[in-house]
Amino acid sequence: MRVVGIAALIFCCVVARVEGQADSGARAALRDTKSNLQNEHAVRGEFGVMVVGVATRASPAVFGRTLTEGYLTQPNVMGDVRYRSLRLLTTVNFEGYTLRRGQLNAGMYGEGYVDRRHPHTLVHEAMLTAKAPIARGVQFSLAAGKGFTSYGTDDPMMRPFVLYPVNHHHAQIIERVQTIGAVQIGGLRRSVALEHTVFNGDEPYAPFAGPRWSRFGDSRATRVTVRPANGVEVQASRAFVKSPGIVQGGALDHAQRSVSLRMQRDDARGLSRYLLAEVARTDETVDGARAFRFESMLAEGAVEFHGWRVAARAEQTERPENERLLDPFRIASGHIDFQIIGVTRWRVATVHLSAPAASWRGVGTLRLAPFVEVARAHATARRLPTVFEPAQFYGNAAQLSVNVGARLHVGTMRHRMGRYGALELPAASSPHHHRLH
Amino acid sequence: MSASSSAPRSFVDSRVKFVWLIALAGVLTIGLAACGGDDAASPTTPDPAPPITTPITPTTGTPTTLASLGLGAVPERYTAEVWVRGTTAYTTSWGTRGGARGNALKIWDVANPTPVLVDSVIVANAGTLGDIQVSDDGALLVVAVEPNPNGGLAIYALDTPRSPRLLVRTTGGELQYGVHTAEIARVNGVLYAFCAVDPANNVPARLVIMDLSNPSSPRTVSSMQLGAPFIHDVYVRDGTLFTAEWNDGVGIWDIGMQGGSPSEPRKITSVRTVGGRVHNIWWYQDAVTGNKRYLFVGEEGPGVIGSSSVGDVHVLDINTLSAANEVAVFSVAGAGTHNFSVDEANGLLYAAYYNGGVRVLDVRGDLSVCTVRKGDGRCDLGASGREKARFLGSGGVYIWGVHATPTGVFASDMLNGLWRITPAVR
Repeated sequence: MRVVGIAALIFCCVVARVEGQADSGARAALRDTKSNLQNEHAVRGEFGVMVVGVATRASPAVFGRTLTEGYLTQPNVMGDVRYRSLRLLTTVNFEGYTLRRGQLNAGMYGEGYVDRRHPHTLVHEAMLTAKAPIARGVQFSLAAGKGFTSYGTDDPMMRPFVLYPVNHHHAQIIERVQTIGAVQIGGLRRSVALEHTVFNGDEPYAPFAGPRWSRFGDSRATRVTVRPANGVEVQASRAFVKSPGIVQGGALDHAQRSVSLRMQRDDARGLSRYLLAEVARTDETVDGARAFRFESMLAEGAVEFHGWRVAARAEQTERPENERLLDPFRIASGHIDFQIIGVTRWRVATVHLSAPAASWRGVGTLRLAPFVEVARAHATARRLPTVFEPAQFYGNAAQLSVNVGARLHVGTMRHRMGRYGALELPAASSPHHHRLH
Repeated sequence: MSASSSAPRSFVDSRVKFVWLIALAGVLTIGLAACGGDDAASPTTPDPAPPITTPITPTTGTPTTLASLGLGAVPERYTAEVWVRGTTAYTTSWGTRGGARGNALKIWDVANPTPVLVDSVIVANAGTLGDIQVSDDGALLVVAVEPNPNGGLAIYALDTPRSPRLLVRTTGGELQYGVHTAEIARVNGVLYAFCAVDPANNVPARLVIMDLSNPSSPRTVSSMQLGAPFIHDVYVRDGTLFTAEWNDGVGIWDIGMQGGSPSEPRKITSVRTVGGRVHNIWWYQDAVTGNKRYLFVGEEGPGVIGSSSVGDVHVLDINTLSAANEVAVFSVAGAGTHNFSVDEANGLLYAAYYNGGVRVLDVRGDLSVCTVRKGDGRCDLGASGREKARFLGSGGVYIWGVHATPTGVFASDMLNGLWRITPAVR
């Protein structure tokens, strides 16, 4: 599998060279202007910075206690550099510095954190892609690097809410070393695409921990995306993830499924509408036999008009419960002895309201948008008896989270995140890039 | 919207609107569900009554039902392992129940049928306690402390058996990742602790052997990376160490039999059991017949603690180590085994069976000869009538450990506390 990765990188370089030669020849014949040639062959790049400052009050957070905390969450520097048919997408995430204790987020779990959203790794994304037309209306691409596998839906960081959905680890598989092959028939507005990814199954266990390179290729994901009309997208994907819970291997494997419908429309009047509905499922397996199953349904939508945005999300997601460490917001990764202590069904309703951003023009455009976000979570044991009884553990089956803060953007923001090559989205400089990301 | 296709704009628009409507209906439906009440099976307040566990399908034959002689109730914590010496029993606790952590060591007077709680000792910086054992001379009490990063051992002096005196609570080092199990055994006159350390990311599971000659300052004499991915219990007898190495099977080591030692264990062989997931081991030495050929191996499959469990008792014939093989198996539908205790004088194996209670097997005689076999040729001990007795408790149990002693038979129940049950008879 390492050979596949190396081959992907070589392909990217070769395609760039061939594309560049063909491109330059054709254009030279047509226009023969030196300035145009220089422009086509120039390296173009766009960069952006984002960060969210938020104060959170969670009641109860754990053991009947109300906690009030403040964070700098989702601090990212994003780059998008293009040269000929090559594109390098990077996202450097600094949550390892700002969010080590995790962000209070009822129901959220993964990477050793529970009821706090874990920090992401420093190199959140660094993907080099190359694409080439192989027939009229047919694009083929290869991408390699670290980033989002071809599974599930968009990164929650690029969606309207600050709090993460509980289903993050059911609906996305991210921060993996990977190679993605993709073919798309059609254009940006209507198309059918198939992507396949090979990657390392081990999920990150710390913000500055690198992937285990020797495990590259032990896991795979396949996604079919259909865009039947402009702004409408349906995807179905499946993945097999080898031992995500223990880096050195041996933990339960994950067989995952995801289906979603996403729609977005922007119009000239300044009105944007967005909707996502998804169903996801994770089976934890040992030797191919299912040990546990966790299911998720989520729907979210947003409307933005002249900068005022209202968004709402409803979710029902099941998660495994593990023995807590001394810090009640931490668990051991993987299930020790293949045992869990229960399955909790989380029902979470979230409402987000944000005001038009204040803007300043300087080196880049700086935008500061205040928001308030309220979430009500309700946790119940999926099956009784259980040794993890949510109402006992938290002090109440229902939890309320109130979040007030502001989202800062500088430079060019990305519209979405996690699609590469043939499926990549319109350039980040889209006039609506700031909307409903 | 900037539709660009060759399809008529009105058609595309109407199609998009239709999909929007469907999706909006989905949002409302799920939203209403999220804001709705609980389903019938999920009460908002915990049920104070003991839960009903997964029903067990009886095996063939007529095992005797063992009665409870008394229950020492532990309602505020989950109970883990039990060890009994004389008329004193010790239990550990596990996980988190309500707001109470599994950091309590409980001491019981078991002179009478119903265990009576004498004292409860909190182990510092512990989230969960696992194994507990008293040394063969009754001088020390050793408790395994989990989890990462506060794992270690708590070692107590038993000058006064019902008032343990803390000698040391280890911190840091290789044990910090969590001591999942700790067995103590004497090898050539020296007392050792065999500590199975949990794996962590980039930290493989490990067996750490510590010399307890100076129990206030235990000294590591060897440390081996073992198990895939877990190392679980060990069993030490006659200079031989048996290691439960999960999917790597059973490891058999010379640690004092023919030149090996705890500081330099010599691997003799490894034996795989059907299904792997090797959790615990007992080398059975029949006090009447002198038979030493059987190794009982517990398998622990994926389960939800407190409600379900999976895993069989496997019987290995180790008479010829180089040709050790599995000859028999015992299964309980709907339940899985956990720790064992063997009454070697009577040839009876007591197996804790989580939601299946306690199962007692007659293990005297040739276990490779039977009336009913599995498809792969192994004897089916249950179907062959080897299950002699069982304890199912009342109102649902989840039995972690069992200890058959001259004082009596005791079972630790995660949900209820410490049971004293009638001993099985041949």
